[in-house]
Amino acid sequence: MSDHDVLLDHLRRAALAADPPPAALVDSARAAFGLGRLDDELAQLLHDTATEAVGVRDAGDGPRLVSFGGVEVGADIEIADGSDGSRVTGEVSGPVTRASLQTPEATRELSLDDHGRFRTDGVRGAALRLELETESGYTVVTPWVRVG
Amino acid sequence: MTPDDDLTILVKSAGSGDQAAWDALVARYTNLLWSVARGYRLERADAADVVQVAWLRLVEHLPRLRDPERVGAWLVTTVRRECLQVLSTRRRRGVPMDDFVLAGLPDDAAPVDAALLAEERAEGLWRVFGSIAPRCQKLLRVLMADPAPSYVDVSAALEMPVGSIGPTRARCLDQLRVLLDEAESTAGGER
Repeated sequence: MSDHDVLLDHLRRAALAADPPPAALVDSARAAFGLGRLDDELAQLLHDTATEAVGVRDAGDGPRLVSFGGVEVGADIEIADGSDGSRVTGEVSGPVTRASLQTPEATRELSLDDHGRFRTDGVRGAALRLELETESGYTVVTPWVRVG
Repeated sequence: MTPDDDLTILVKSAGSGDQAAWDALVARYTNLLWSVARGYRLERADAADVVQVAWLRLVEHLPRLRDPERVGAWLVTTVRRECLQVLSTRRRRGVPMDDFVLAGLPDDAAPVDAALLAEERAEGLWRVFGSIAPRCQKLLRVLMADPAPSYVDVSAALEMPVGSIGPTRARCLDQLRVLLDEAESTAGGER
Protein backbone atom coordinates (compact mmCIF):
# COMPACT_ATOMS: atom_id res chain seq x y z
CA MET A 1 0.00 0.00 0.00
CA SER A 2 1.25 3.47 -0.83
CA ASP A 3 1.55 6.14 1.85
CA HIS A 4 -1.62 7.72 0.43
CA ASP A 5 -3.59 4.49 0.72
CA VAL A 6 -2.41 4.00 4.29
CA LEU A 7 -3.32 7.58 5.18
CA LEU A 8 -6.79 7.24 3.67
CA ASP A 9 -7.25 3.98 5.52
CA HIS A 10 -6.40 5.74 8.80
CA LEU A 11 -8.87 8.49 7.91
CA ARG A 12 -11.55 5.90 7.24
CA ARG A 13 -11.04 4.43 10.70
CA ALA A 14 -10.96 7.87 12.31
CA ALA A 15 -14.23 8.80 10.55
CA LEU A 16 -15.93 5.63 11.76
CA ALA A 17 -14.96 6.55 15.30
CA ALA A 18 -15.43 10.32 15.20
CA ASP A 19 -18.31 10.81 12.79
CA PRO A 20 -20.27 7.59 12.28
CA PRO A 21 -23.79 7.63 10.88
CA PRO A 22 -26.39 7.44 13.69
CA ALA A 23 -27.37 3.83 14.35
CA ALA A 24 -31.02 4.74 13.72
CA LEU A 25 -30.15 5.76 10.18
CA VAL A 26 -29.52 2.19 9.05
CA ASP A 27 -32.80 1.13 10.68
CA SER A 28 -34.76 3.86 8.91
CA ALA A 29 -33.08 3.01 5.60
CA ARG A 30 -34.11 -0.64 5.99
CA ALA A 31 -37.62 0.33 7.01
CA ALA A 32 -37.95 2.53 3.91
CA PHE A 33 -38.39 -0.66 1.90
CA GLY A 34 -41.66 -1.41 3.67
CA LEU A 35 -43.01 1.99 2.63
CA GLY A 36 -42.77 1.20 -1.07
CA ARG A 37 -46.12 1.33 -2.86
CA LEU A 38 -45.34 -0.33 -6.13
CA ASP A 39 -48.96 -1.19 -6.95
CA ASP A 40 -50.25 2.35 -6.67
CA GLU A 41 -49.90 5.19 -9.12
CA LEU A 42 -47.03 7.51 -8.29
CA ALA A 43 -48.03 11.13 -8.86
CA GLN A 44 -45.48 13.47 -10.37
CA LEU A 45 -43.79 16.27 -8.53
CA LEU A 46 -44.73 19.23 -10.70
CA HIS A 47 -43.34 22.11 -8.75
CA ASP A 48 -41.37 22.68 -5.54
CA THR A 49 -40.28 26.15 -4.56
CA ALA A 50 -37.50 24.76 -2.36
CA THR A 51 -35.90 22.95 -5.30
CA GLU A 52 -36.36 25.87 -7.63
CA ALA A 53 -34.70 28.27 -5.18
CA VAL A 54 -31.39 26.35 -5.11
CA GLY A 55 -28.66 28.60 -6.42
CA VAL A 56 -30.99 31.59 -6.71
CA ARG A 57 -29.24 34.25 -4.71
CA ASP A 58 -32.21 36.49 -3.96
CA ALA A 59 -34.89 33.82 -3.62
CA GLY A 60 -37.12 34.98 -0.80
CA ASP A 61 -37.89 32.94 2.25
CA GLY A 62 -41.59 32.61 1.48
CA PRO A 63 -43.62 29.53 2.30
CA ARG A 64 -42.65 26.29 0.62
CA LEU A 65 -45.16 25.36 -2.05
CA VAL A 66 -45.26 21.93 -3.63
CA SER A 67 -47.54 20.65 -6.40
CA PHE A 68 -48.25 17.08 -7.42
CA GLY A 69 -50.18 15.78 -10.40
CA GLY A 70 -51.55 12.33 -11.14
CA VAL A 71 -53.63 11.09 -14.06
CA GLU A 72 -56.94 12.06 -12.46
CA VAL A 73 -56.03 13.85 -9.26
CA GLY A 74 -53.66 16.51 -8.04
CA ALA A 75 -52.61 18.32 -4.89
CA ASP A 76 -51.01 21.63 -3.93
CA ILE A 77 -49.53 21.93 -0.48
CA GLU A 78 -47.81 24.56 1.59
CA ILE A 79 -45.32 23.48 4.24
CA ALA A 80 -44.54 25.95 7.01
CA ASP A 81 -42.60 25.72 10.26
CA GLY A 82 -44.98 25.42 13.18
CA SER A 83 -44.27 25.66 16.88
CA ASP A 84 -44.30 21.87 17.09
CA GLY A 85 -43.26 20.30 13.79
CA SER A 86 -44.49 21.53 10.43
CA ARG A 87 -47.91 22.85 9.46
CA VAL A 88 -49.19 21.54 6.16
CA THR A 89 -52.09 23.20 4.41
CA GLY A 90 -53.30 22.27 0.98
CA GLU A 91 -55.94 21.45 -1.54
CA VAL A 92 -56.60 18.31 -3.51
CA SER A 93 -58.29 18.30 -6.90
CA GLY A 94 -60.12 15.65 -8.90
CA PRO A 95 -62.33 12.83 -7.63
CA VAL A 96 -60.56 12.37 -4.30
CA THR A 97 -62.71 10.63 -1.70
CA ARG A 98 -60.12 10.19 1.01
CA ALA A 99 -56.71 11.68 1.71
CA SER A 100 -53.98 10.96 4.21
CA LEU A 101 -50.61 12.44 4.98
CA GLN A 102 -47.75 10.08 5.69
CA THR A 103 -44.34 10.46 7.26
CA PRO A 104 -41.93 7.54 7.49
CA GLU A 105 -43.23 6.95 11.02
CA ALA A 106 -46.94 7.73 10.90
CA THR A 107 -50.07 8.20 8.80
CA ARG A 108 -52.83 10.68 9.56
CA GLU A 109 -56.19 11.03 7.89
CA LEU A 110 -56.85 14.47 6.45
CA SER A 111 -60.25 16.00 6.81
CA LEU A 112 -61.16 17.63 3.53
CA ASP A 113 -63.68 20.47 3.31
CA ASP A 114 -66.13 20.88 0.42
CA HIS A 115 -63.39 22.41 -1.71
CA GLY A 116 -60.88 19.66 -1.00
CA ARG A 117 -58.89 21.84 1.37
CA PHE A 118 -57.15 20.62 4.49
CA ARG A 119 -54.82 21.76 7.22
CA THR A 120 -52.81 19.74 9.69
CA ASP A 121 -50.29 20.70 12.36
CA GLY A 122 -47.44 19.11 14.21
CA VAL A 123 -46.10 17.07 11.31
CA ARG A 124 -42.78 15.55 12.33
CA GLY A 125 -40.40 13.44 10.34
CA ALA A 126 -37.74 13.71 7.67
CA ALA A 127 -40.23 13.58 4.80
CA LEU A 128 -43.90 13.48 3.91
CA ARG A 129 -46.16 12.31 1.12
CA LEU A 130 -49.88 12.28 0.41
CA GLU A 131 -52.00 9.28 -0.37
CA LEU A 132 -55.18 10.00 -2.31
CA GLU A 133 -58.02 7.57 -2.86
CA THR A 134 -60.31 8.20 -5.78
CA GLU A 135 -63.99 7.46 -6.40
CA SER A 136 -63.07 4.45 -8.48
CA GLY A 137 -61.15 2.95 -5.57
CA TYR A 138 -57.84 3.76 -7.16
CA THR A 139 -54.96 5.00 -4.96
CA VAL A 140 -52.39 7.61 -5.90
CA VAL A 141 -49.31 8.36 -3.77
CA THR A 142 -47.10 11.38 -4.21
CA PRO A 143 -43.32 11.26 -4.19
CA TRP A 144 -41.66 11.86 -0.83
CA VAL A 145 -40.82 15.46 -0.08
CA ARG A 146 -38.12 16.21 2.47
CA VAL A 147 -39.32 18.51 5.23
CA GLY A 148 -37.06 21.02 6.97
CA MET B 1 -19.29 -12.34 -11.12
CA THR B 2 -18.24 -8.69 -11.38
CA PRO B 3 -19.29 -6.16 -8.74
CA ASP B 4 -21.64 -4.66 -11.36
CA ASP B 5 -23.40 -8.01 -11.90
CA ASP B 6 -23.70 -8.33 -8.18
CA LEU B 7 -25.30 -4.90 -7.90
CA THR B 8 -27.66 -5.59 -10.78
CA ILE B 9 -28.88 -8.72 -9.02
CA LEU B 10 -29.34 -6.90 -5.72
CA VAL B 11 -31.31 -4.10 -7.37
CA LYS B 12 -33.50 -6.50 -9.34
CA SER B 13 -34.15 -8.68 -6.29
CA ALA B 14 -35.05 -5.63 -4.21
CA GLY B 15 -37.32 -4.48 -7.06
CA SER B 16 -39.21 -7.75 -6.82
CA GLY B 17 -39.71 -7.44 -3.08
CA ASP B 18 -36.64 -9.04 -1.51
CA GLN B 19 -35.97 -7.24 1.77
CA ALA B 20 -32.61 -9.03 2.23
CA ALA B 21 -31.38 -7.62 -1.09
CA TRP B 22 -32.55 -4.17 0.00
CA ASP B 23 -30.73 -4.53 3.32
CA ALA B 24 -27.57 -5.44 1.41
CA LEU B 25 -27.89 -2.20 -0.59
CA VAL B 26 -28.41 -0.29 2.65
CA ALA B 27 -25.29 -1.89 4.15
CA ARG B 28 -23.30 -1.03 1.06
CA TYR B 29 -24.28 2.60 0.62
CA THR B 30 -25.48 4.16 3.87
CA ASN B 31 -22.01 5.08 5.10
CA LEU B 32 -21.17 6.60 1.69
CA LEU B 33 -24.37 8.65 1.61
CA TRP B 34 -23.67 9.83 5.15
CA SER B 35 -20.10 10.74 4.17
CA VAL B 36 -21.36 12.74 1.19
CA ALA B 37 -23.83 14.69 3.32
CA ARG B 38 -21.17 15.37 5.95
CA GLY B 39 -18.73 16.31 3.18
CA TYR B 40 -21.25 18.98 2.16
CA ARG B 41 -21.10 20.13 5.80
CA LEU B 42 -24.65 19.34 6.74
CA GLU B 43 -25.25 19.08 10.45
CA ARG B 44 -25.76 15.54 11.65
CA ALA B 45 -29.56 15.82 11.96
CA ASP B 46 -29.89 17.29 8.45
CA ALA B 47 -27.47 14.72 7.06
CA ALA B 48 -29.55 11.90 8.54
CA ASP B 49 -32.76 13.34 7.03
CA VAL B 50 -31.20 13.69 3.61
CA VAL B 51 -29.93 10.12 3.63
CA GLN B 52 -33.28 8.74 4.79
CA VAL B 53 -35.04 10.60 2.00
CA ALA B 54 -32.65 9.17 -0.60
CA TRP B 55 -33.64 5.65 0.50
CA LEU B 56 -37.36 6.51 0.48
CA ARG B 57 -36.97 7.85 -3.07
CA LEU B 58 -35.06 4.78 -4.20
CA VAL B 59 -37.95 2.54 -3.13
CA GLU B 60 -40.24 4.59 -5.37
CA HIS B 61 -37.72 4.62 -8.15
CA LEU B 62 -36.67 0.95 -8.16
CA PRO B 63 -39.08 -0.15 -10.90
CA ARG B 64 -37.89 2.65 -13.15
CA LEU B 65 -34.16 2.51 -12.50
CA ARG B 66 -32.70 2.21 -16.00
CA ASP B 67 -29.16 1.19 -15.09
CA PRO B 68 -29.21 -0.98 -11.96
CA GLU B 69 -25.41 -0.97 -11.82
CA ARG B 70 -25.57 2.82 -11.40
CA VAL B 71 -27.73 2.65 -8.28
CA GLY B 72 -24.87 4.11 -6.21
CA ALA B 73 -24.51 7.08 -8.53
CA TRP B 74 -28.30 7.56 -8.43
CA LEU B 75 -28.30 7.56 -4.62
CA VAL B 76 -25.38 9.95 -4.21
CA THR B 77 -26.84 12.29 -6.83
CA THR B 78 -30.10 12.36 -4.86
CA VAL B 79 -28.17 13.11 -1.67
CA ARG B 80 -26.10 15.83 -3.38
CA ARG B 81 -29.24 17.61 -4.64
CA GLU B 82 -30.91 17.43 -1.25
CA CYS B 83 -27.72 18.74 0.40
CA LEU B 84 -27.65 21.74 -1.93
CA GLN B 85 -31.30 22.36 -1.12
CA VAL B 86 -30.64 22.24 2.64
CA LEU B 87 -27.69 24.62 2.29
CA SER B 88 -29.74 26.97 0.13
CA THR B 89 -32.61 27.02 2.65
CA ARG B 90 -30.23 27.58 5.57
CA ARG B 91 -28.58 30.44 3.69
CA ARG B 92 -31.92 32.12 2.95
CA ARG B 93 -32.85 31.81 6.58
CA GLY B 94 -29.74 33.72 7.48
CA VAL B 95 -27.37 31.00 8.60
CA PRO B 96 -24.14 32.54 7.33
CA MET B 97 -22.47 30.50 4.62
CA ASP B 98 -19.14 31.01 6.37
CA ASP B 99 -20.31 28.67 9.08
CA PHE B 100 -20.33 25.94 6.50
CA VAL B 101 -17.28 26.93 4.52
CA LEU B 102 -14.90 27.83 7.30
CA ALA B 103 -15.93 25.76 10.26
CA GLY B 104 -13.75 22.72 10.60
CA LEU B 105 -15.66 19.67 9.46
CA PRO B 106 -15.23 17.62 12.61
CA ASP B 107 -16.32 20.47 14.91
CA ASP B 108 -20.00 19.61 15.03
CA ALA B 109 -19.43 15.90 14.91
CA ALA B 110 -20.81 13.74 17.68
CA PRO B 111 -18.71 13.54 20.80
CA VAL B 112 -15.82 11.34 19.89
CA ASP B 113 -16.22 7.84 21.20
CA ALA B 114 -13.18 7.71 23.45
CA ALA B 115 -12.92 3.94 23.36
CA LEU B 116 -13.05 3.76 19.58
CA LEU B 117 -10.74 6.69 19.12
CA ALA B 118 -8.37 5.63 21.84
CA GLU B 119 -5.32 6.00 19.70
CA GLU B 120 -3.93 9.44 20.19
CA ARG B 121 -2.73 9.36 16.64
CA ALA B 122 -6.24 8.89 15.24
CA GLU B 123 -7.53 11.82 17.24
CA GLY B 124 -4.67 13.99 16.03
CA LEU B 125 -5.31 12.87 12.47
CA TRP B 126 -8.96 13.85 12.71
CA ARG B 127 -8.05 17.25 14.16
CA VAL B 128 -5.51 17.97 11.43
CA PHE B 129 -7.99 16.77 8.80
CA GLY B 130 -10.27 19.58 9.98
CA SER B 131 -7.62 22.15 9.07
CA ILE B 132 -6.91 21.23 5.44
CA ALA B 133 -8.49 23.14 2.54
CA PRO B 134 -12.31 22.85 2.55
CA ARG B 135 -12.43 21.34 -0.94
CA CYS B 136 -9.92 18.71 0.17
CA GLN B 137 -11.99 17.94 3.27
CA LYS B 138 -15.03 17.49 1.06
CA LEU B 139 -13.33 15.10 -1.35
CA LEU B 140 -11.53 13.11 1.34
CA ARG B 141 -14.66 12.88 3.51
CA VAL B 142 -16.36 11.11 0.61
CA LEU B 143 -13.32 8.96 -0.24
CA MET B 144 -13.04 7.76 3.36
CA ALA B 145 -16.53 6.26 3.24
CA ASP B 146 -16.72 2.63 4.30
CA PRO B 147 -16.64 0.56 2.13
CA ALA B 148 -14.41 2.64 -0.17
CA PRO B 149 -16.56 4.19 -2.91
CA SER B 150 -16.05 3.78 -6.66
CA TYR B 151 -14.79 6.85 -8.51
CA VAL B 152 -18.02 6.83 -10.53
CA ASP B 153 -19.97 7.32 -7.30
CA VAL B 154 -17.51 9.95 -6.03
CA SER B 155 -17.82 11.78 -9.33
CA ALA B 156 -21.63 11.83 -9.04
CA ALA B 157 -21.45 12.90 -5.39
CA LEU B 158 -19.23 15.89 -6.02
CA GLU B 159 -19.98 16.73 -9.69
CA MET B 160 -16.33 16.19 -10.41
CA PRO B 161 -14.89 14.50 -13.52
CA VAL B 162 -13.72 10.96 -12.75
CA GLY B 163 -10.31 11.78 -14.24
CA SER B 164 -9.60 14.58 -11.80
CA ILE B 165 -10.40 12.58 -8.65
CA GLY B 166 -7.06 10.70 -8.54
CA PRO B 167 -4.81 13.77 -8.96
CA THR B 168 -6.90 15.85 -6.51
CA ARG B 169 -6.88 13.01 -4.00
CA ALA B 170 -3.08 12.89 -4.23
CA ARG B 171 -2.72 16.67 -3.74
CA CYS B 172 -5.10 16.65 -0.78
CA LEU B 173 -3.38 13.72 0.92
CA ASP B 174 -0.01 15.43 0.37
CA GLN B 175 -1.37 18.52 2.05
CA LEU B 176 -2.66 16.44 4.94
CA ARG B 177 0.71 14.67 5.25
CA VAL B 178 2.59 17.99 5.46
CA LEU B 179 0.28 19.30 8.17
CA LEU B 180 0.48 16.01 10.08
CA ASP B 181 4.28 16.11 10.00
CA GLU B 182 4.20 19.73 11.20
CA ALA B 183 1.80 18.87 14.02
CA GLU B 184 3.96 15.93 14.99
CA SER B 185 7.19 17.94 15.08
CA THR B 186 5.47 20.67 17.13
CA ALA B 187 4.18 18.08 19.59
CA GLY B 188 7.64 16.51 19.71
CA GLY B 189 9.24 19.90 20.44
CA GLU B 190 6.94 20.42 23.40
CA ARG B 191 7.94 17.21 25.04
